Amino acid sequence: MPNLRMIRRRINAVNNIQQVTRAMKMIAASRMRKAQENILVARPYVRRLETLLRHIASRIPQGAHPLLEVRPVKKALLIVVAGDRGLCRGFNANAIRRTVERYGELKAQGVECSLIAVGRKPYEYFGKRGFPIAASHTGIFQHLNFLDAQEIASEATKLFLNRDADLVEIVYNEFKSVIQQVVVLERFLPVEPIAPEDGDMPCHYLYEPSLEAIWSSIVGKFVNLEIWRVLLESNAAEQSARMTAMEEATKSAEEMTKRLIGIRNQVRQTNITTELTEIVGAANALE
Amino acid sequence: MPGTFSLEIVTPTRILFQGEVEMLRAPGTLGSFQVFPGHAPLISTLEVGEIDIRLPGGKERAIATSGGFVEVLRKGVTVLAETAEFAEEIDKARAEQAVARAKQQLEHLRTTARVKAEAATRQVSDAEVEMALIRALNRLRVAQREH
Repeated sequence: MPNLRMIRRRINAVNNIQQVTRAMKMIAASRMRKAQENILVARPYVRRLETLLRHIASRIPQGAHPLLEVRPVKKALLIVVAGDRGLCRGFNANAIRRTVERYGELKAQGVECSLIAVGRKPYEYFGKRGFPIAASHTGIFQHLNFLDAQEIASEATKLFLNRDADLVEIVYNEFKSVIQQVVVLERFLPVEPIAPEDGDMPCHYLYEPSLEAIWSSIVGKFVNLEIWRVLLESNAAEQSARMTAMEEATKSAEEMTKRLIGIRNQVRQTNITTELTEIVGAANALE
Repeated sequence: MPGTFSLEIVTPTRILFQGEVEMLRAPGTLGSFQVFPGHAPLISTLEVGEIDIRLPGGKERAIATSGGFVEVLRKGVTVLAETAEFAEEIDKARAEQAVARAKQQLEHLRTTARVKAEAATRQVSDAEVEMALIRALNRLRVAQREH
């Protein structure tokens, strides 16, 4: 027979937890709104810049720019972007799992692999297990800053240009919608050229001032902006994952309280019945 | 009888314009140029300056930009601007303040530049402040043009 006091204590505890999860849900919701807005306004620009860049890349000869150079892959760099904190369902775990998977694939092909960890969770995971970490960035999601994106981009490009990485890929959670985040793996470097769709007939571009000038100014912008987009994407995904997780936690706390109250009432009733029977029994005995 | 082409003006913070226009005038690095329907494919960098568009029906709108890229394709034109705002959106008083501030900063930098050690540790360079001034002046110019 469960003790009444114990049950009451549990109900209180569950209520307290529920208050916390509810507060966390609210915080996540407000952060998510901001993060969502940020990514939704940044996405069109970066996507279009990417298209433009690939159009140009498809028209300039291979090896015309060091960031286009396709080399046999002996060394690879994986940038894994996740969060600093947990309590957000599979957000961190999924990104980490995908990275481990890719790491294994590359290893199996005899490719030497290193990592850039963005977020405390992946940093701790890979650090503890002795993965080669080229660089790490933790605590940047509190106040996302374009400078962080620049730094990550410059680390990656530097490794690529020094031939310490022949391939740079990036793993992150894409913000699909509030209830859906998808882990994606994208190639970052070398830049993949795509010919413009438009051109059934070969269209000759005019370049002003010159192809090279446009190219170098656009590439520099693009690598930074691409990382920036990924950070915004991941941040929005994290906040929405956390919001959903906390919403679920709040709901299950509610259910648990209901169940506990049911048990409490039952116990209380049995107690009263027992007491009554005892009193009646005692009264009968006295007569 | 002028036709139209589709135009998008996109900045990192918003899509400023999306629709059909009769004409686009943009401040290319090699000088201002105009785009009419059927223009040859072109990619150009943009400088700080003024973008003008002519809407169907002949109404023109002025846009202040601080540079970017233009891609002209047969299916349409995309302007990727670092910043862009319609002339009527610019707050003139604030633009004037920005000009004054940049001028003052520049003046300050020039007078202190003689001290070499200070110049080395300085965070902002002349060039940056000068660019800020150019951008601020441009915004002000475009804003005044409208009225």
